[in-house]
Amino acid sequence: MSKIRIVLADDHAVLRAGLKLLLGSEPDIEISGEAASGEEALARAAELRPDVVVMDLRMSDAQLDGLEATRAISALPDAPRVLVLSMYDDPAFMDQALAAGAAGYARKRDADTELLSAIRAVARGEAYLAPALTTVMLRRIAAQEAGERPAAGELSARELEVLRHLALGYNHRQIAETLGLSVKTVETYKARVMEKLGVHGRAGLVRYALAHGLLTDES
Amino acid sequence: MIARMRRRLWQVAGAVSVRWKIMGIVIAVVAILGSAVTYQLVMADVQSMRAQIGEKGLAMSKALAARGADLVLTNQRYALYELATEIQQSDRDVRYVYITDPAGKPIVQTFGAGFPRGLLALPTPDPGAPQAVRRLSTEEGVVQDVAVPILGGRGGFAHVGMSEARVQGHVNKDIWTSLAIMAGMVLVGGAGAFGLATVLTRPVGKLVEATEAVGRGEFDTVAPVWATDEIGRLGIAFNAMTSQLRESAETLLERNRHLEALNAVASVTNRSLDVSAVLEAALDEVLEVSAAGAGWILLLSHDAGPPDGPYEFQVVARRGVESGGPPGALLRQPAPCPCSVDAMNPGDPAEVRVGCPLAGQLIPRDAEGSEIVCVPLRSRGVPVGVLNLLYPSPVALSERERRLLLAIGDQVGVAIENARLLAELREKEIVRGQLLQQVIGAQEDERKRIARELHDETGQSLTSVSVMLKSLESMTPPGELRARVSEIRAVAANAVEDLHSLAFELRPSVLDDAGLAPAIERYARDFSERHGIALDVHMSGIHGRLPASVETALYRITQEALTNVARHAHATHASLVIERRNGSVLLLIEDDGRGFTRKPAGGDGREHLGIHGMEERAALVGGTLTIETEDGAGTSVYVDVPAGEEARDP
Ligand SMILES: Nc1ncnc2c1ncn2[C@@H]1O[C@H](COP(=O)(O)OP(=O)(O)O)[C@@H](O)[C@H]1O
Ligand SMILES: [Mg+2]
Repeated sequence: MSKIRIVLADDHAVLRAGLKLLLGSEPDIEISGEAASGEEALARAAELRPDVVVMDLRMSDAQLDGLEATRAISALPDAPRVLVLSMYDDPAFMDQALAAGAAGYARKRDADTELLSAIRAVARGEAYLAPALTTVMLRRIAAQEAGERPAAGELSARELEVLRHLALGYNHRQIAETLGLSVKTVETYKARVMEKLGVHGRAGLVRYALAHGLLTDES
Repeated sequence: MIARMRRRLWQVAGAVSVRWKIMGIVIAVVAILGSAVTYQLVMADVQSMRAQIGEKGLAMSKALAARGADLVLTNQRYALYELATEIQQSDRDVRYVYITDPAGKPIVQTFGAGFPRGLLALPTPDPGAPQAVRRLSTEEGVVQDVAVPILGGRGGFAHVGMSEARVQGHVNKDIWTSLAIMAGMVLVGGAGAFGLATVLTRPVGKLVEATEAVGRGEFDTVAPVWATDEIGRLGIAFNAMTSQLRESAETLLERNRHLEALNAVASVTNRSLDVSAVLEAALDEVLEVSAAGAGWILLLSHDAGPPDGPYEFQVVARRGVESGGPPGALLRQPAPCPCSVDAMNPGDPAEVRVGCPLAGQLIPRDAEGSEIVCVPLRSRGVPVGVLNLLYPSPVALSERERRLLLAIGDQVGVAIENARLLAELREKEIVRGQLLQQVIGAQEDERKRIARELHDETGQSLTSVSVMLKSLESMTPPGELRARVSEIRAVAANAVEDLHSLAFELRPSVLDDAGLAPAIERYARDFSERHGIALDVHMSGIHGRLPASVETALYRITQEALTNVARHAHATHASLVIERRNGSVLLLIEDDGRGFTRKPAGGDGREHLGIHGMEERAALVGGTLTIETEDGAGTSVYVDVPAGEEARDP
């Protein structure tokens, strides 16, 4: 079985050394090249044709940062797989990396324990997501589905009107003034609407209003 | 009851003019007197005539009785009849004559047409009495029946009826005469009364007219004085009173005018805080109320010159004068000069000066004899400028006018000072805002730098350590050493984790690299996990980038608001909405916690610093922050911020 050939791209030399040390002792992994910037990584990838490029996202003093390099490398013919190895665990960065063509996203924090399995998974052609991020992904999907089907109840015309204004972000006093009600009454309506819709706050109300086209006449 | 009648009487009497009262009294007196006199006269006349008639009747009755005695005895009826007729015809007052026998039965009578029954009913007179006189009412009037016994009653009675008709006629004549006389008297008395009333009431009437005129405010009315009697004295007193009234009314009017002027100046000075607008309006008001035709206001330049050196002034308002420098021009004036420096000594009492030798050189006076009046403008006693007024002719200012001008000067001075203070305050506010922006910006930059540093340097180094430890671990045979290495690696991993949170707290790099939405999403997730409060997030329209300052402000406000929810609200649910709509971004953070009552800022100085910070952050990016909360009713924080220029690349 041939070794997994790797290019390590990270601007942090010490970290790179540490990673080399870690990966070097693995029998199935071979480090064929290193890069300290995005453009270098692209050059190594094009020249060495590795199986996997382990890519840091933020590299200082680089013309291409990790994201752009990932995009460029993924665009290469017969492209190597890119495993992003980042300090950050924000889903946004993960989204960006995946959108740029990365096959996996791992956290540097977990490098000592996870990196090897991540490289192997990516090399196998699988996707890899840091466990800390998979929960986020799952929750996001769940929220999306919940958002698509908000619980509906029978709302009176007045309640709908209050709901619409609440969803538009008016404060209670403004709603009271616009609809000629007292602030207390508005609060009562709000509580009732939330109860009927089974939501616990403005965010839920906005989501419901959007899903039911209550805000469409407002540009 | 009586009181009411009296009141009614006075009402009626009071409605009648004095002239008619006098005439009425005179006429009434004449009429009453005349009536009384007439009555007395008539009564006396009637008495005497009645007596006369009675006596005549008695005489004739006696004659009849004497002459008829023989005829009765001899029963010569015809002769008796002739005697009776003779007696009747002897006097026109005799109505009838008859003779009765002792029993009262008529023997002879002159009635002709039958004896009236009424007479038969008369009782027979007492034969002992020399006569019996009885008054009888008949349809022809009163008749005195005089009966005399013939031969002591043995021959019967001789009756003569005397008519009193003549008395009535007499009375009537008397009354008519009296009435005529009385009418004459009334006429004469009335004329006299009219004259008297005229003499009495005309001056009074004139006085009344004058009083009414004064009542209408015509204080120059003079009441005519004809004589030196009481009415004349009244007229003199009246005239003295009106002239006093005229004076005090003039004073009052003047004072009123002054007050109005001061009021007008006060209101124009309060209306605006823009110095030149205030001063121009004030100048207009002053020119309106004073006789001055033109004026200009000089303001002492901020850094006032030396006590003796030239003073620097700025012409800030000008009316009716061409020179004196264009508005805004700087004037240098040597001391001393009433239209500038003299009015400037803070120690001196404020004083209005008339005339200034220097002003003539400054303001070419077209009219000879025009005069300059200089009014100091002071604020809390400190001179701030001069109001110079140009009068077309020499002026003698009354004490009151001086005081008015000084009061106006003070008013304007205060307005100037206020406007300056406000301008200063605004400037300071702007500087404060800029400083705050800089401080906040610097703080954010610093945080960003440190967070980067922690991540990119320290964090990565520590990561390297743990990675190296890992490889060391895999090279070490299982045993004590390997366990130690593993421990160290765990410590390093913890440190990296801590570092990561620290950096995130300082400033999440996702905010800079990916924008507000991911940063908030991330923060919200951590928040729910850490505090066990269900946080529902809805964001729309902000997946593009917003200006960095707006993103930072909204992020920091969210952070502070959610921190407050965790720290104070005791909420189970919280809600976060960010929506970009119509060029502005709305951020809304709501909880279902216990709410609070907002206390006014101040106090120990540490109160509400978080909320203040949120407000400052919102204000610095041109937005507003509203908090709706009530004890026990949750809290909603609304932030409305302009979205700024077009979104940057995502
Ligand atoms: N969401 C909230 N629910 C209840 N009380 C709150 C909330 N936010 C603020 N408060 C009250 O307002 C006070 C001022 O808040 P803040 O200015 O942030 O200062 P701090 O949080 O340092 O006390 C808090 O002490 C708390 O009593
Ligand atoms: Mg706080």
